[in-house]
Amino acid sequence: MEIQTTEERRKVRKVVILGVGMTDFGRFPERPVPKIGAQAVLEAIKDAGIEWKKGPVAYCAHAMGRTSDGQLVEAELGHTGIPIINVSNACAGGGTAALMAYQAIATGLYDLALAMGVDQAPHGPVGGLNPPTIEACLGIDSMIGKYAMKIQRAIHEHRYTLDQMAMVSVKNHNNACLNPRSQYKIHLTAAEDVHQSRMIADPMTLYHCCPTGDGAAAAIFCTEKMAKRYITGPQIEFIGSQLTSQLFIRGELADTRDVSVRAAKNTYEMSGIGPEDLDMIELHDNFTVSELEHIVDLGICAEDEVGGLMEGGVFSITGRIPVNMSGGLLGKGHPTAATGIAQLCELVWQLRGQAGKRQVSNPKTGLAHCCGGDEGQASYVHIVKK
Amino acid sequence: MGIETKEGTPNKQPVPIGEDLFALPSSPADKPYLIGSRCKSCGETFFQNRVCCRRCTSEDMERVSLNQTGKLYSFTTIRVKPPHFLGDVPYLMGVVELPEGERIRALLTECDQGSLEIGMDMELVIESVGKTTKPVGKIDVGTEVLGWKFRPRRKEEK
Repeated sequence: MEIQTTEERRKVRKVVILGVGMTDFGRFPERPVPKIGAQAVLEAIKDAGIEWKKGPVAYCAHAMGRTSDGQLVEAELGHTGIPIINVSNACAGGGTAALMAYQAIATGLYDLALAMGVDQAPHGPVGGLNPPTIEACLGIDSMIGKYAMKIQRAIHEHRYTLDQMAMVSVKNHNNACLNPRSQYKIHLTAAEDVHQSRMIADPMTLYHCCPTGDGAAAAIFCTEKMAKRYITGPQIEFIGSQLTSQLFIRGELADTRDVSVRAAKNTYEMSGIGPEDLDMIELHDNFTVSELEHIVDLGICAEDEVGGLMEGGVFSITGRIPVNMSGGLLGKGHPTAATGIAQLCELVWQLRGQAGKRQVSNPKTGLAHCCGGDEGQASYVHIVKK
Repeated sequence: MGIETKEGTPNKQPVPIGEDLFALPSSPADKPYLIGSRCKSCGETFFQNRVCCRRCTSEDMERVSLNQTGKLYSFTTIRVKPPHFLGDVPYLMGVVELPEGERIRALLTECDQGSLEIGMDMELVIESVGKTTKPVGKIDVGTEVLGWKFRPRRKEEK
């Protein structure tokens, strides 16, 4: 695939994130999906200072709802007649909606775009599609089983220790305690606290796994020209976004990390920003092992360094390169398609200096990353800068 | 007792959970095997039949019987029941690598977690996995179904 270089990008329009909003993440069974979604959009349009009736094009991501959730959110806010596109791309759905909003503006198709994600999840492990698949009936179509076996392999191959993986959970849960919108505010002090939680699939305990939950997030994108009318201070530019799917790999539990490696490489090339230029990262920590893998996939450090650096605090809020300041999927929660947009909310708040107790010291750039689907079937990387 | 309900007719024979997944032994001396497909163009072998080769997209595929033995690639004991699973928790699940290169997700049987080690020899068995609680393909609710599992390879048979 050909990637636009920085030089070629000058021909497309600059894209600015004008405003962001998100709901608390948690369990809201009494709240219908359109109301959860509308709450996030209302906050984003107020933050952007625009009127809803101005009518941006809207990309609404959801992984579990009805196929027209975007229109149902719009109906909740008041009809505008705008084009609304529903986006489904598993855990990468929110980020994919952001990519589409970026493309709509960069290419000159629209001047203003809304990207949002909203989901409401049933309790318990993910899955349960109807009609049931053969693998689901056999109990082998299990996300927790797959990641427990990945952890087994990581230990067997001496890539990471169980303690190092547990320290991801300690860090992200503690960051989540500093985020008022987090689903969980559980203070963990050591790897042992993670080992002591309930066994889910050996050797993986509960705190190695992100929760399912409910929530929404929204972001308003616009042209540089339009942003100047609304923002007097520095603009937050969305400078790169690439989505990938996997190449051929053999067999179950195959190494699918290449999807993230290529998404990162392509986005670095497109944005002219490299891993060494990044000030902070929000990435896909669906399970603890994933965060260690993805830090390496994004080119931050080598495979044999990452576990030690995690234990050394390099990825904490005050560390050299903070990762998942928001609490990540593990602590903040993971209402599937809302996650990708919630990552952008965090990066924008951090760049504006509005992140409260979890504020990173004067960040100028940030990266967001998610993987979607059972085998890393989709991966995206976004880069924003002030 | 003695009353036949719609679900769970007592004299029904267990049926394979899907078509073209595995072949049952035709005699007691025979062994079951998984049904795979091999690409005649690039040689890649897959479990189950395919529209085309996942590696090179060739449609020139042949049906093959897969090796009954392989090596344990990873394993876990699942303690939280996944949606639609016909059995009970906890249960053992693993991934087995066949000599063909294909790796297969499967239930593990006739073993406990403490006796398992990555790299050990495993062999295929076809066993009941329980009764269906929802229709699966053409199979009605309440039918006892057979699925593929692996067990540690028995020493005397090596």
